[in-house]
Amino acid sequence: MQRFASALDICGFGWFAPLARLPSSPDRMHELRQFTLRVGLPMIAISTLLFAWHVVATSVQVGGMILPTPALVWDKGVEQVREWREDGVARTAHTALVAKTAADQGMTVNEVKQFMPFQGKRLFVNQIWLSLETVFLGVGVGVLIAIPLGILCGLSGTVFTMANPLIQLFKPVSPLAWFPVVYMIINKAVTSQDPLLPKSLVIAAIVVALCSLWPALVNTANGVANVDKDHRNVARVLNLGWFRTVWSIVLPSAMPAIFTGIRVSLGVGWMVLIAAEMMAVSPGIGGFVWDWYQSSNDIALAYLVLAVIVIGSIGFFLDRLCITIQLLLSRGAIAQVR
Amino acid sequence: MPHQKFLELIKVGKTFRTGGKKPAEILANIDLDIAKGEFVAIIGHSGCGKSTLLSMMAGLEDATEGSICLREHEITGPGPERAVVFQHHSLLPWRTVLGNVMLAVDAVFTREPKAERRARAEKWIEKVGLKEHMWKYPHEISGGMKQRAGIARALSMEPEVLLLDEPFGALDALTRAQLQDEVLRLHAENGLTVFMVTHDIDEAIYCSDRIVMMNVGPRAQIGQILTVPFARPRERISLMESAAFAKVRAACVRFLYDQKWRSAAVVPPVTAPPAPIEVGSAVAPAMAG
Repeated sequence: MQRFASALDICGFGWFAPLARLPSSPDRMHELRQFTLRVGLPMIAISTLLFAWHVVATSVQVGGMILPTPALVWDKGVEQVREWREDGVARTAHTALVAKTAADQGMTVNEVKQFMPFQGKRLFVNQIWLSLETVFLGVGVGVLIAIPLGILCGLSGTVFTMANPLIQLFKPVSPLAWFPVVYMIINKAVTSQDPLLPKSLVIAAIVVALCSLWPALVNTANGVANVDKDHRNVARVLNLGWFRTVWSIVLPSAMPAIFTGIRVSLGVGWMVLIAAEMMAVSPGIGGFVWDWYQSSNDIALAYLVLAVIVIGSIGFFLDRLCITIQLLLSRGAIAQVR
Repeated sequence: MPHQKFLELIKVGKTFRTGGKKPAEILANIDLDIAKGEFVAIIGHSGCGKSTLLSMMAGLEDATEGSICLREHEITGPGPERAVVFQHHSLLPWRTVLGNVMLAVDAVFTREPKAERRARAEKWIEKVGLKEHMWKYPHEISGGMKQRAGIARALSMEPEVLLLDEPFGALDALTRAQLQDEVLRLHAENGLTVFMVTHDIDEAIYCSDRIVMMNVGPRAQIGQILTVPFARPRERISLMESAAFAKVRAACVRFLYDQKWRSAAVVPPVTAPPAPIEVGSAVAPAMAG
């Protein structure tokens, strides 16, 4: 039970850890109090916010437009999930139909799909998946560039002095400034009618990569440059070669810093992504926001607020995911979980 | 027996040059011969350059003057024949005890097959009494065990010289005594030559054959070298209760106490050895001068 509780802690469900400890704890009142505090206090804050929102939304009108209440936004969320479920059912039915037609007509499944494509709608839940794909692609590419560069910068003062002005120059550039540059280049460069990945997704991912690689780079360089002096001396006394020193001493001790960098990069990437998708008209969450923003429908505001909440929750979840991975990789947690 | 010098320090000096400021001369004119199998302790006030001297013997820092030779070959860098145990265990926290020792064994015995290297590592871990803990990470074991693991790592390289930089400074008195005994046992069993930096006078007397006492810096030099007149193996309690021990101890304390009152700024070059300290006939005159 203790293990389960620490596993909960690591996964970011530390709130429930006191409940998990409850059966075996010598001081049950203490665990209950802990649980009440850790769950209760955030609940108070959240309900206060919801209440205030509800009051404002029902009493204030902006230029004749009705503001969405929490209940309305919740309904829209439920509606989106229901549509997604129905879409899934329809898709399964369609796949079966295609397979049956193919068997009846003696054609391949792909040939049938040519004249019988699935007429699905653009669904919010699917758009979330697309956004996640884009952000992982973008941040992945960014991190793959940033970590080797960061290691070089951290190991060699010369490389760092060369790279530092460039890092400082490009680090503060907004995604909105990168976007037109990337857009024009990719638009001209990709001429294929049916590219491997949709153009808009590639553009959004590149913008994400350009903005998210800097935190990973700077953190990696810092982590590599600040290896404990005792540990460096160990490497020297053991006469470890360059490669062995980097592999056995430098990288493991820089690992926490590298992971912090990746985590910050993912956070930046997720923020940048929405802007990049809006501008690229990529069918992700950014695209969803853009579509509703363009519509003159009063209900649009409810969808936009829904999008804000979903974006925030996913950002929070991604951050927790990084912390969990980091904790699992760090030595303390390994010992605890085992 | 052919007389070959073992570990020699010849007119060793160290000056730190930091940009802008005037160079700081830490150590000057250190002459010391250490015989094979000898256990030498070095004591002195903080900042007198004891640890710097050890770093130079390890090859982690260069001597700016003079030279340090092992078997008449000048030391120019670190090498596996001179193992170091650092003050802060300096185990790699992401490796188990075994992993930490394997790092050293793998680095030194590159030609041996994997199984033999593993056996070597386990042998040394067993010798320091950590066999049951070899799969643990450094944060899972006590401070004394960490220092044992550090010693196992150093000894697994099968060095000729063991350099100990205040190895037990961070440990409680009981653990410290236990580890001292173990180092003495390993010293006797393996014919090691040991050079130990310490702040602890009792430790220096109990462990070593000779005690090098440093003047205060800057330009610290060897003030006196005291030969410890006790036969080995030594028995802690009876030794520490003996009058002879008290005499040696008093000699060390007097030296350090006198040093404390000498103004650091006006340390004159030692022209004549200070008055001999009477501990039987065990006092060697100061070698610096």
